[in-house]
Amino acid sequence: MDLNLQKQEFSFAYVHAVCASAGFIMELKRVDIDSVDAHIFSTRAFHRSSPGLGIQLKCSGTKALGMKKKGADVSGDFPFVLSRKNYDDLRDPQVFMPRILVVVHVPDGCGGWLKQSEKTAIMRHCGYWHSLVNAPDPADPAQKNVTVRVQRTQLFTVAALASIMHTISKGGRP
Amino acid sequence: MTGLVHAREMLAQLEPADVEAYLRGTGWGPGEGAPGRVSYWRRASERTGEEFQVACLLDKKYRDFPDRMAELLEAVSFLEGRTPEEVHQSIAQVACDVAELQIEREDITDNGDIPLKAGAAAFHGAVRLYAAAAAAELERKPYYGTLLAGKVNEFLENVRLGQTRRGSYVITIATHLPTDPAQVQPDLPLRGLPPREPPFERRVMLRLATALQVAHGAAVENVEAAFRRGVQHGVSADLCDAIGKMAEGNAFQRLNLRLRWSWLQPVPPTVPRNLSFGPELVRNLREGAAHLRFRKQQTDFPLLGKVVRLERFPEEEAGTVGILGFVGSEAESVSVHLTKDDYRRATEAHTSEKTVVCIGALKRTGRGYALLQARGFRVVDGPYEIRDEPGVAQAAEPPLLYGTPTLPSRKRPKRPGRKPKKTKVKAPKKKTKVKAPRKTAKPPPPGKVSPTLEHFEIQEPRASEVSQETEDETEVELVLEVVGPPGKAGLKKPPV
Repeated sequence: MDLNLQKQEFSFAYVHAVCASAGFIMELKRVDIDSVDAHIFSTRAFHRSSPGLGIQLKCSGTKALGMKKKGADVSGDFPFVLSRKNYDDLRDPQVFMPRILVVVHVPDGCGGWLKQSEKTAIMRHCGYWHSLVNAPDPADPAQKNVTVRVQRTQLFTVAALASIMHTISKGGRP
Repeated sequence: MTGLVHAREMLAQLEPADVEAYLRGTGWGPGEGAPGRVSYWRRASERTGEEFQVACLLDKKYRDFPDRMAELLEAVSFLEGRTPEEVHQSIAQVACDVAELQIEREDITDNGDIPLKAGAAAFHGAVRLYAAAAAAELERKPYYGTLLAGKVNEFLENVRLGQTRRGSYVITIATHLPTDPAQVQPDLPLRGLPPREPPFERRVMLRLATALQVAHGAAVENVEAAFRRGVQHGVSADLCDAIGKMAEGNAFQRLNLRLRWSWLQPVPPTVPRNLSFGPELVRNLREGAAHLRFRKQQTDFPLLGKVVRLERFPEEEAGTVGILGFVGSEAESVSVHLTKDDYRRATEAHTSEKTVVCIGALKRTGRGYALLQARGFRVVDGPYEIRDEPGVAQAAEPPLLYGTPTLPSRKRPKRPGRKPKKTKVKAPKKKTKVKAPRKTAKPPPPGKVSPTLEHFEIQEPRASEVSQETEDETEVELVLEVVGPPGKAGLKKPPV
């Protein structure tokens, strides 16, 4: 399997595990039309009276994210490059279902992604979420990629997801 | 990908007001929502009691409007047991009265193909059906003849033919109902309130439903009087013929009509929604149409016009003339039988191209019209008011056209003394069926031929088609077949 495809599938598995643990339903969209890879809902199909959450999933190794760079800021944020299309789609306020970016950080070699024993199953490393609502227009209108700063404090965990869905159910946006 | 993009485009065209009208009309109850942004709807499954919920976006500017509509369609279709495409179609037609004409035929393939001629006849019949209903809404008559004119034509211009569907062969016709823009209130979920008076389009559809239901009853009763009574409800020879047109051919099995009324302008539950015609009823409709078409008679009809035809055998004194006058709004040549003196006056009027008038009982014939028991024949000189003609019935009918039609220039007057052509009309051949039971054959003794019933086999009777609408008597037909040796053996009617 192609490494990029492996990363994609692993990121789906990570988010799926978080959703399942939080009690939410995740629906994959295999065709990326609107920069949304998956939807997360609080109720099952045909029983929804509240909107869900759309996520754009990305997966990158340690090197690509600059996590091991000498002097890297381990408490701040890290840069992530998005295509111009993804950037505009994720920050568009004219969207009913809120959207966030989720970046899953994995080791550079896929051998270290999953460690299992009888007692534990460990996925390395973690996911970070980032909202682009109210993000500014790029400096250069013609630029094809935009770099966003993802906060390392915004881990995509069970608690974080529950908090996000709670905010949405009250009419807010993450 | 192309299909997905096309689907998104179709979803993007849905109107929130239409979606809400459909949900409301199909039993969904509104929940709490955010005005201008989203409304929520709930409905319990009749089968399981499980409650379903959907969100309807009210602002089409949302980029994910198609995606949210797709989710709504999926939920609704799951509950209704239909496909999302069918639900989409229903929502797109929420402002329409829709008729589905399902034709069942033996020669429709599993692919849903129908023979070309049968299909063309079905579409033609559908047009005539709608035209007959529109004409009946304007004026009740037993027979119209010319349908596609005036307001009927205008109405038909706004009727749309949908995609045919499989399931035998289904023709879908949608009639868009206008809403009154003066009554539009933007803060209400509906795009516009239904107008106070039903629009003409809705009245025609109601007339169609009523006329079909009455025609169905008349076909079951199968007497002329039933069809005559139905005229006041919109039954006409044209309507009956239209059904007959859709049911042409031996392969026809059944015509099912399903009427779906617009959710924006609901109708009472008593309005007909489903009707079905089998071959037996179609046959009765054709007979009813013949009664309505050929026995129209109007007494004390004043005929004003010009003599365009003269017909008299030399040895006779009386004769028949053709007078070109108006019958209703149509110019028609009406045959009038005249006495010797009147025929002479008619000949003079024909030569001098003067207008004539007479009164009689107007009857529709196979080829045109005839004025029976004509009286008061005279040539008109100067200004003339037909209302003043003695004996003219002052009925509350649409006014007749009192002018005379322009004589066609290519017609030349007949030369006097020319003998009319005699045309012999052959009496139609009667088909006779020999109905006799057949006994089980006893082989004749060798060498002997006995033309008796022993040579005939009795087969099990074959039952003809029985209408599912009524408890009609089963018609049993027994067929006689010779199984004995040929030659001297012949058919012999059994003793009764």
